[in-house]
Amino acid sequence: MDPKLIVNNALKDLYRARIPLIGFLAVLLFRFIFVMDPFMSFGYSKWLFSPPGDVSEGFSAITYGLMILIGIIVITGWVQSDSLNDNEAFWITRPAREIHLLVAKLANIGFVFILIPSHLDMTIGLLHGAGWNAFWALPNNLWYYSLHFLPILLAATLTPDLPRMILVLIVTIVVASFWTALIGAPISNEFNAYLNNIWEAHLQLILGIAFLAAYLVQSLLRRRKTATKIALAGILLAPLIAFPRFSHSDKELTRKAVPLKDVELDPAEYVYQGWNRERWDLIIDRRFDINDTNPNRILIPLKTQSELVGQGLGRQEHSIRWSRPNWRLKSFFNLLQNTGYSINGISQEDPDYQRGNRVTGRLLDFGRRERFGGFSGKATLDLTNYFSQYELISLKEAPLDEHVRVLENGISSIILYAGYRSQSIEGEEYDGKALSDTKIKVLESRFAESFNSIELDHNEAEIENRILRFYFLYDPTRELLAAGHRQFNNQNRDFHYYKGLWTYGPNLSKREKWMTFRMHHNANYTIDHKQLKLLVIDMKKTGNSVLKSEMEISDLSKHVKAIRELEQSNAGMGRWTREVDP
Amino acid sequence: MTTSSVKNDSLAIEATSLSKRYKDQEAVIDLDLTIEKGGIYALLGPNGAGKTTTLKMLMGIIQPSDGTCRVLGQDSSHLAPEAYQKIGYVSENQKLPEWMTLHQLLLYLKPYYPTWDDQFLQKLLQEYELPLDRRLKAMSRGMRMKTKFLISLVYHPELLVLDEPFSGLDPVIREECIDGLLDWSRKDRTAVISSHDIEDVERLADVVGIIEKGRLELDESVDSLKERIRRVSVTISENAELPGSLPSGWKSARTNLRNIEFFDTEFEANRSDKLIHAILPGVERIDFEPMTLREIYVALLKQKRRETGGKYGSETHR
Repeated sequence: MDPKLIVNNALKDLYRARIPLIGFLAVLLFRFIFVMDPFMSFGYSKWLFSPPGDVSEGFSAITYGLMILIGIIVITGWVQSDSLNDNEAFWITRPAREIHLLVAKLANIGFVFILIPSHLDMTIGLLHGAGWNAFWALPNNLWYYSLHFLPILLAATLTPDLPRMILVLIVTIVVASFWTALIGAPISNEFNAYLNNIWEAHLQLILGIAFLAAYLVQSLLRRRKTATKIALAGILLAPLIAFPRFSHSDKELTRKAVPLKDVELDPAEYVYQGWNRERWDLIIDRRFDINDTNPNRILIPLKTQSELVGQGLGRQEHSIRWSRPNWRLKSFFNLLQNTGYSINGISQEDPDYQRGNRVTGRLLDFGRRERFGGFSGKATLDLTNYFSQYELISLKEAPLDEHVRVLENGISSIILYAGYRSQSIEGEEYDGKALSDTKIKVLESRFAESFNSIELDHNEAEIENRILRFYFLYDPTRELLAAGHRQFNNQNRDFHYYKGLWTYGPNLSKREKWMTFRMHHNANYTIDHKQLKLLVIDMKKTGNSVLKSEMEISDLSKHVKAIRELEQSNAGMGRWTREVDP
Repeated sequence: MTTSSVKNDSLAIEATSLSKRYKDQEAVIDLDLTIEKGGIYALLGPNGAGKTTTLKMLMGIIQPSDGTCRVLGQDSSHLAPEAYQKIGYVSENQKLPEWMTLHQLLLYLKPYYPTWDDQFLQKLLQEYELPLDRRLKAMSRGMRMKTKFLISLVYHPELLVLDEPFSGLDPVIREECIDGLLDWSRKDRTAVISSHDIEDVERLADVVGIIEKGRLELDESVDSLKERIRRVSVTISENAELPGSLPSGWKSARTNLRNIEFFDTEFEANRSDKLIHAILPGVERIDFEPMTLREIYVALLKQKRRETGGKYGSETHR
């Protein structure tokens, strides 16, 4: 291959399409400024340059459509000006190698339609402090844009002119729809969500691209030997099929560092930290008095924590855009407070209660409402707290040596052998030789594992009780208790294929067979595991309580301010924790 | 091997049993063609005879169904791009990148040709009076054809293949193109030109091949052809009786009272005169007239069609 001749062809094609390409770059610039909010990172308001309300989302959709339209016009022109199917094409009787034409056209498409938009997305990520994540997301972005524009290249080789090219595209869409309806649907089932997604959304596209690519190679390399054609077709197709395996999800772009002013609690109070990758935890520490506590029951108050985990930087309306501030509420078992044990300070998300415990309503909607025409009145924070009440059934000390195996550093992980638990898959029922020979159903819970026990009343009617079982590792020398939980592994919540085109994906997760007991983060002492005891606590849930409260944002700001002052004066455990990512 | 190599090196084109079939239609049938380097070879034939198909196979644009063809020593089915640095191709149907100006086209093409001659380019531009800054789309048909000539001559190809290059051109442009071609051919280069316009070809061609219904019916130098074929007019006495059959070299014989006319395709002055006296009775007068290439072409085609029961088969023939 002669690079000069490739450049010669590439420049020729670029010059030919210079006017639509200027239009394309203008569209990209417009998107960059008015859709992606780049100036937010410089301390300006998120919406300084973005038009209000639906207009911004309209811009996103329109510019996306324009990108595709210009891509079709330009790429079709490039391909069909050096037609592969026309015996009277100009290049056929010239010393132009087919590979020169192919590489030149791929280079132009790659540069203009894939590389530039991908790097704009990456730039947005960098501007907003996504750090290396912005680079890791680049392959995914490249793949995303490739999926838009490479099929156009392939389809253009089939057709002699633009109208027929558009006709082919329409037919392809129709056929793909039928494919999905006729072939995709019957094989879809809940049992195999992964294959379902593959068939419905991806395989048809891969097959379509494979067909077109084969045709392209056949057309381009008609003077080549069959083996060469097959090899080159394989090389061309391999990235299309294999590349998603190396791509990263858009979640990687979610910024860890969120300047507090973006949250707009009290912008004047905090200094914007630039691109530092920081994470702030906002803990709303509220005490609640529960009056109707039954002394025979153990009350498990769920202390509410709200964590500002960042702002989503993901694909919305066909472009990389900021999503609203993302809060995640954490619940925290302050278990057995009244029993004399102290619980290690584990800050752990509890999915069981996350659904019920939300910082609801107005705060989350605050940003959105401002965009949709401004916010009037005082911003308030609604807190909805759910309390679960449990009755203690048993608290046993299980012999540690028989049931656990020390794995890491003496204490951090243990494996429960058969007799307590065996490996299970979420939601799947299985019979196990448990303590009371009851049927165990593992539910989604980190700290507690629930199972149902059946009792017979005096009428011999079955009464089903839901029992929660907690595992604790107890260090009697220091009176420390570590709650155990099972990790999930094999999670595949972020499906990488065609990110942005299809938002759904399989959600696979499985419990680990081992259980982790997290010690307090200040537990920098050595623990003799031989002294440890495994506590097994069974409780029966007897009811729920709900407490709703409301505070104004200004109050919250004051509250936060007071906590900061406490923190700065080292007067106690600050509730603002500031973690700096390494 | 050495002998063969020497022989092959002297050939610009060597086709053996070349055939092209399109489904049930045979466009070219078992064509053997040898064109030596130097000079202009004209491939003549009516519309649809298979000229363009033959040239496309020579250029490697389409693949033959059977047979082989070597162009400048290379198999035309696998012509390397470098081979096209030595070959020029001009076709009335060939599509130019019409969005380009002539200047842009020349800039684009130049890197492909090591033998690109800028001085020659300036000379051609002056001769053809082509505007550099005009888009090809905006050029007249004649200007576009001159452009095709220009971009095929400027790198001094060893072989020039022209498919109906003068079709539809006005006389002035046609003359300019022909003059350019004649000038170019003086440098011991080879051209193959297909046409159904005999007058133009007659001025150019050194060797002519006539193709009819996919078959090469004749392949001979123009000089030899004109020397070999004569129109013969014989006047015989009134009561002379014509023979039942005529020699095979006498084609398209016609009688009109005492006059007999035919084409002698095996003319040799002394031999033909003696043969006429031997075959025809009462010969009073014999006229041998040289024929133009056009007349020879028409005569041969008519004769061929008579023999195959074609359009002219019902004409008088004794």
